[in-house]
Amino acid sequence: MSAVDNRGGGSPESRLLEVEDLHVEFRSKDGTANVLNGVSYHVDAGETLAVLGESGSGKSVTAQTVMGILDTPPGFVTGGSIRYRGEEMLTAGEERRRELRGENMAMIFQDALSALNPVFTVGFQIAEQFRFRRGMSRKDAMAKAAEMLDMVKIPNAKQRVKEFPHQFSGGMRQRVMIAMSLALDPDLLIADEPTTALDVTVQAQIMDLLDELRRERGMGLILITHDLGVVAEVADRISVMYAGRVVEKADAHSLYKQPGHPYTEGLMESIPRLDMKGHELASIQGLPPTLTNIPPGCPFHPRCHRAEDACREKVPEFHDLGLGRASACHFAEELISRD
Amino acid sequence: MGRYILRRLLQLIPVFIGTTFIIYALVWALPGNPFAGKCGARSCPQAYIDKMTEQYNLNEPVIVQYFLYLGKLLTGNFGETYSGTEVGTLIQNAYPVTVKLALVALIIEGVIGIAAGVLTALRGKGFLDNLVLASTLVLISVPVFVTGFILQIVLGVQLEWIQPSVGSDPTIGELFVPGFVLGSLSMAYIARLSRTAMMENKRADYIRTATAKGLAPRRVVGIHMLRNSLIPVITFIGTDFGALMGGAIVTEGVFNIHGIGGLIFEAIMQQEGTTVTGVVTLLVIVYLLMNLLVDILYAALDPRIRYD
Repeated sequence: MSAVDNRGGGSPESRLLEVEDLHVEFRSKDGTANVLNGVSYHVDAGETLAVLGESGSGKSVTAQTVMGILDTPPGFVTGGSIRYRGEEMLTAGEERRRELRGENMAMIFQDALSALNPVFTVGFQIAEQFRFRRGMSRKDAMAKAAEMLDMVKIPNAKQRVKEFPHQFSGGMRQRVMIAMSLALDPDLLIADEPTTALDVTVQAQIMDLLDELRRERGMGLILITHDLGVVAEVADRISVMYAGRVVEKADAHSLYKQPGHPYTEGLMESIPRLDMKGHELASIQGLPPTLTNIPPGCPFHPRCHRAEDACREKVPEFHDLGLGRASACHFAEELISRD
Repeated sequence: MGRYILRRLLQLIPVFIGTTFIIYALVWALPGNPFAGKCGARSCPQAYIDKMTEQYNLNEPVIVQYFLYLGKLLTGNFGETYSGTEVGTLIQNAYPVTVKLALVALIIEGVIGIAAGVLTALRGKGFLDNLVLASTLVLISVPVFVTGFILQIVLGVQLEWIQPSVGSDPTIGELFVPGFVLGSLSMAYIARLSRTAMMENKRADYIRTATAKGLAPRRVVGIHMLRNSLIPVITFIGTDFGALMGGAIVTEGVFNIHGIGGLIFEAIMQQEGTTVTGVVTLLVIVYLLMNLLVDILYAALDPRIRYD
């Protein structure tokens, strides 16, 4: 697969994070699953990159590999490059990577209840970073933890800092998670489906909060989601992933206006719409491929309504569509030149 | 929490009355003459039997006997054996030995069990893991008296590293091997329990979070993983301590330790009803209190558990 071209955004040197042609496989007794097959994306300071895709498309694995928290085994990086501010991560030592975690790059997870340690107070878990990364005293660290809770707009922060994760509501818990990830003021935040487990009304609040914090701090934000509605409001650019590859990348506006890949099109059509009430809900037929056995040619072809012989034989190259857009579909140009 | 403890303590009262009554009835209402064989080959003189019948209220119905006994018990009087020794004194002499042995066993099973479990969980598959799995399997399948006799013969008789039997006021050092024998079964369980708990928590989401925060691996494992994994282990150890405090008839027998287990065994053999009732009542109370302690400990360890 060819490298994704880097036009659109800053120069490669100024990039906050650049992932290039990343390959990861999961090895088990039953065989090898090709989880990532050449993922490339980048994010600059202050911008939001949304990574879209179904479950199993490799969104989270990419994020975990960037953070250096991929479980090995079963996961093994077999190729590619991850550069943080130009520094290669994959060859950096574990100690260097640990230094960067929390301090420079941080991550929040989908289910804050299981992502927070149930037996420690939220204050303890936030303060821990100030104590062990910044050498603060227990008391000062707790005061800072309360400040962090206040920053993510948890009312009564001074009292709540002494409470345990299970004593918070889902939305408040995700705020705790955000406060914890931002404690050491990282400049890259990866949010792995931060709102999936939440009520719709709370989802919007959390997204607003993330967006606000990103703006205030000039952070780069990677927002991993399968929810197109969430993406539309906050993303600057979007990378759509399928079967461990980025299949389309574009700025949010043009992607919504005219998807350049049948998979993206399918995703957008499967959003329920009020004006289509009574019609059958559109969905992409079939299931994502098993990663131990990815179909030859375009991995999406068995589910694609416009698949032709070429799709079954040849893996589509990235078609540069100008203005930073690209799509890995043989018919990319055709797709975006429609009305 | 205070209310919960109070409620639990109040619950002890009916349990206490119920168990003591059952024990009392079992011991005294059994058919058979308690004085048979008391006076050697001859039958006891009538005057002795009359005196004893009077002293133990044996002419009254069992229920009346029981309440007379309970009345004395509540004033701290455990009664006397047939030969006139205070049961209270017997307990006073035997219990410290039992507590000492229980503590030694508890420390051995706790330290070795947790260390083995944690190490194997962290190291993963390999020699150590197989060694621990195999040896715990052996300890679990072999009865305690076999382990006891083997160690006694090998370490005590053949190698002469230890005294094969223990004196009446044993030191901690003397109790080391008996404690190991007594705790060996629980040690095997603790090793497996902590190994499983650690393995489960290794992949837990909050461990990933702790790693993503950039904490040192030492802290991720030593604080975040261990703290959670030890909850079931500590609960088990607490319950086991309650059981250990009940004395160990077999281990005490093998190593000739004069603890509460031996006392009960002898009392049953000699049909010393007062001793049996007294000691078992005490053990019931100790066990109930230990259980309460475990429940309180459990709430302290796991903040998700609230009793109010």
